[in-house]
Amino acid sequence: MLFFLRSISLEHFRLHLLRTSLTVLGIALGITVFVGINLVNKSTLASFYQMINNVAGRAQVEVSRGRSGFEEVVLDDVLDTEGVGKAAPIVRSSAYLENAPEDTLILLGVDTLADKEFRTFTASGESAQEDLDVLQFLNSPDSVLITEPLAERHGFKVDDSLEIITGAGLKTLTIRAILAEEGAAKVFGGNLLIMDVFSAQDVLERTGRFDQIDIILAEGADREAVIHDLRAKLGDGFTVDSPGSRSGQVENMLKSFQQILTIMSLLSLFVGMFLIYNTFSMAVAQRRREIGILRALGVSARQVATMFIVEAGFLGLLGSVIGTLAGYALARKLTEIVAETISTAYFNLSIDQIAMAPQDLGVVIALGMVTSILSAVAPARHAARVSPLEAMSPQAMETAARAKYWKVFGVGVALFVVQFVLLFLTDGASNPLIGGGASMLGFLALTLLSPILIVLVGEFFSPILKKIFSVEGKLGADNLTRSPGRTSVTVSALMIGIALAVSVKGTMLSFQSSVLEWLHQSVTADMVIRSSAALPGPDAVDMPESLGDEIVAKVDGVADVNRFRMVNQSYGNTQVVLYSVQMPEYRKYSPGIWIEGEADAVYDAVTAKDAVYVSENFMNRFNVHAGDEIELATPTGPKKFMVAGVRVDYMSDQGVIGMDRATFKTHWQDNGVDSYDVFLKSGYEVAPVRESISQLFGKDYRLVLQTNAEYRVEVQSAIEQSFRITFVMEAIAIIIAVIGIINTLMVSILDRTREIGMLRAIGFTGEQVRKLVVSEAGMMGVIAGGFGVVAGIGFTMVITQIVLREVVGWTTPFVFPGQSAALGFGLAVLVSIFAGFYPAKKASETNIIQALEYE
Amino acid sequence: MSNMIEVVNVTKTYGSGAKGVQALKGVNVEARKGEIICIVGPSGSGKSTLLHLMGGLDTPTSGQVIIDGQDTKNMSDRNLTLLRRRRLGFVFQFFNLLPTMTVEENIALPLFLEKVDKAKISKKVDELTALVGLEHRKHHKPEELSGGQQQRVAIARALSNDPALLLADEPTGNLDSKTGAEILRLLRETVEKYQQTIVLVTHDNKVAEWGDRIVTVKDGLIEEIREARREAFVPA
Repeated sequence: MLFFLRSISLEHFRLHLLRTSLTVLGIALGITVFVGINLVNKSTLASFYQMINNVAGRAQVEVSRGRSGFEEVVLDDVLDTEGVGKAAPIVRSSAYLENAPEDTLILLGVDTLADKEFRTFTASGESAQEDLDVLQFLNSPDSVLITEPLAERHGFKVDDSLEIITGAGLKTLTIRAILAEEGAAKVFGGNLLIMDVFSAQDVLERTGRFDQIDIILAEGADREAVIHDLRAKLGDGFTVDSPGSRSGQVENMLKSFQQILTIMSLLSLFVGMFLIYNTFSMAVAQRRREIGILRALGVSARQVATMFIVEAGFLGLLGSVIGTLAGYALARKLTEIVAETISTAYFNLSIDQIAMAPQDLGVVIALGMVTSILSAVAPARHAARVSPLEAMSPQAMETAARAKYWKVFGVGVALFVVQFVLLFLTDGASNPLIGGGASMLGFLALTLLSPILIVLVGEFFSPILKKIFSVEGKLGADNLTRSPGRTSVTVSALMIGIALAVSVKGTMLSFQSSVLEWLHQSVTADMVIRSSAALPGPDAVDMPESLGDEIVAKVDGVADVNRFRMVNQSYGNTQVVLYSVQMPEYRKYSPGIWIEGEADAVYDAVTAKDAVYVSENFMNRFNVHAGDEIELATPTGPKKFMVAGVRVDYMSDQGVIGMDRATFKTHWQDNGVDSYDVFLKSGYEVAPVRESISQLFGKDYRLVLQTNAEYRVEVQSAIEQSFRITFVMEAIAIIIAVIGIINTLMVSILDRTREIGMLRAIGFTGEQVRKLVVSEAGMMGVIAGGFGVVAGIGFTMVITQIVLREVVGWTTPFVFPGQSAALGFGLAVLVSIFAGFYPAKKASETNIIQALEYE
Repeated sequence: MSNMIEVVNVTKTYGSGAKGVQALKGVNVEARKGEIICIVGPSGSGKSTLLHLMGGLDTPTSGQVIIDGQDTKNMSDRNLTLLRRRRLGFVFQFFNLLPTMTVEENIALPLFLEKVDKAKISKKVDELTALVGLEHRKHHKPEELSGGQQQRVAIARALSNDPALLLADEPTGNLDSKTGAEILRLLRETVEKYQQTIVLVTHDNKVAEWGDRIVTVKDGLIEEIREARREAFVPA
């Protein structure tokens, strides 16, 4: 076998270097995406755990209570508990730099004495001194330590003053030391400020309150027992857990996001498989005579098949190695996009490590080889069936057996039915394995439909192309129908790429339009004010409650303000979003879209008593309906709330609970404000009001004032942001498809060498031969684009009508993606024509005499 | 009679240096209007190279090939193509019909290239299908025809642009002898009807004797030029 590989296979690789390289590139790209996405998914979680571990340091148990924190005396209770060895209080808040409001910083107040048992902070650069405890620098109330990356980004030096915006307004601190990028100073991409815990209380105007207590157990103490005792002692409002316990919830939260990415990366690999299948089918067709000779000389059918399998494995190995390296590079780029997406949609995260375990490397390379080999099995079996007699007879042309293609079409339709059953009649849409399998089936079905479609479309376009491009156009269309089997695989690959692009874009548009409709019904304020560049969320910087009253009192033209507060709330096995607004004001302006319950009754209920409304996806996810009761863990203990209604709300893909601000303040003991909705008196313009608010309060709180329209644009771009990563994958799928087209056309030209020679002999110019090949390529694009767009629209409907409901619990009305359909079609035709250029050039340079003698 | 084609002191070398192979080593031959010249010789003798040069498919290394008064030596690829398209016709051993096109379309292919108007094409196709006896097969695809019928379509295609010179490379090589005889009869008929010149390459001496003159090529040189017996080719 080694002899065959060396003297036959390698020789063919060398002879068809372009085709071989393109195939390897195709495998490599498929693997690149797969590796890239997997690395990103793993790195995301790893970075999150790392972040938890770095911040937690040596802490074994953490005590906290919502966003509002708790009284200092709790520390004494904790220290008095048996089994608690050491305890350190923490004050924690978001803040940002006065002159760089785009980055959210985490301000951590730590106990300068107790904390060194928990976390290690090391001074860097000029402030570094042997054996010096860097926390000693926090010796005055305005002292702050910043991290090396932050200092580098903004050019800060020791003793510089640092102006930050906090929930209590603008504060000026002095940088006392710069922390080396290690341990706790490594998290949040370095967006971390360290202060003395009591100074932090002062700065944040939260005297006497802590947000968290970290605990190291006494020697021999049992963690579970200590947690149990602490819970009993502190009461239900407190969260007492090990630092890692939140990770499960985060994994759940990111699950669907990561699943979608994984399925898409598998699709790239799938498109890559098409390319390998195609390459080997062609190789077998071209080498039939050689196979016949080998068979005549006594090589067994099994040996012939093995030869092709080994070739596939070899190319797979090569492609996997290249793909793994490229995937690593891709992951670096993708992590930036993913980190941004997660930060926008879920929580602040910076992904700063990408690591591939050696065993993963083995798995990926094995995957690449297995993928290649699987794709080559059918062509290899085909090769094994070549009889020795065929060595003697001239090449048989693939004849268009229409009946056969109708049969294949039938199988394709059957596969669609299976896909339909999987998605509709099982829980396929919410199960990644079945859902992923179903999408592969759908694409496979498309491939099987395509040979007959190619024949029909080719026949339809042949006379039209003749009219437009004369005889060379017609020949281009005809050539396509001559080997629909070969063409279909190529066309399908591009079709999948286009379908993917159209469906993702279509889903995004449908989703965007639903969200905008929801915003139209819910965010009716003339202006939204917040104290952070980030959209409102649990990482937003607080604004004081009194600010609202001041705005109403001092700014001419303001009719009403509404205070919005949002927290992450544990529910079931995930974290949902809980927000509060002042219902009496809210109902005046926000009709909402109600699925269960009637607006007035719901507003009455949530204003009057301990009632809430939930979002549609909360209802679907947890099977909670109007009239049900849900129990929520609050800082004042578990409380039962009546669900008064269900409404459309896209604030969180995990589920949303809405309640009156009064109810929230009572149970959560939190009177912070994340954003103010401002409603104007009639007859007032937004611009002058915005100007006066900005002048009166803007400096202290560094307020971000947005008009309703601006806010919507921002939400819209946040949605686009979360779809950005998918575009990278679509692009790669399309590139792989383009490689397929180049490959197919090159072989198609080779097959028709004599014919091209004849055409040149009877008077086709080189230009006309080029036109012929380019029309053939263009036709592939027309077919792939046409059916890809149709399939893409179909998939959009499946995703918006079924998958989104099953996975996230949202119903989104289908919006016809007209523009992306047109773009997708145009793109397919353009990339195909582009892919045709090189083969066309090659064809036009055919040596007529050699071509006429070619067999 | 004036010369349709003249080959003057032509050499053709493939490759260069020590590896170069001289296929033609100084050849002189001409064909008159309305004449059928048959080139014979063993394989590797250079007869195909000579045909390719005479058909404007290739240009000589030295010497002149003058087709219909035009020297091919310094012609651009495009001009050579146009010369082939407008003045020459080709008939190949393996017919080389386009499988996706009907008989009618295959015959009209050179006319499509010249953008001849539809009515004229239709008239010409009718005339040629009648000439080759395939008027009832106009809408058939090549795969539905026998080898002899396919070669007749190829001849009709070669005649569609009213060529001055028709080049045939082993036109009977892939046919049984009875069908081959029919094809040769058809070619003779066309010469008489359209007054073209035919240059035909064959390895079959019996086929060669059917022409007007026989040019024997051996080792890249012309060994002999003589009058043929002009006897009808009789199937063995």
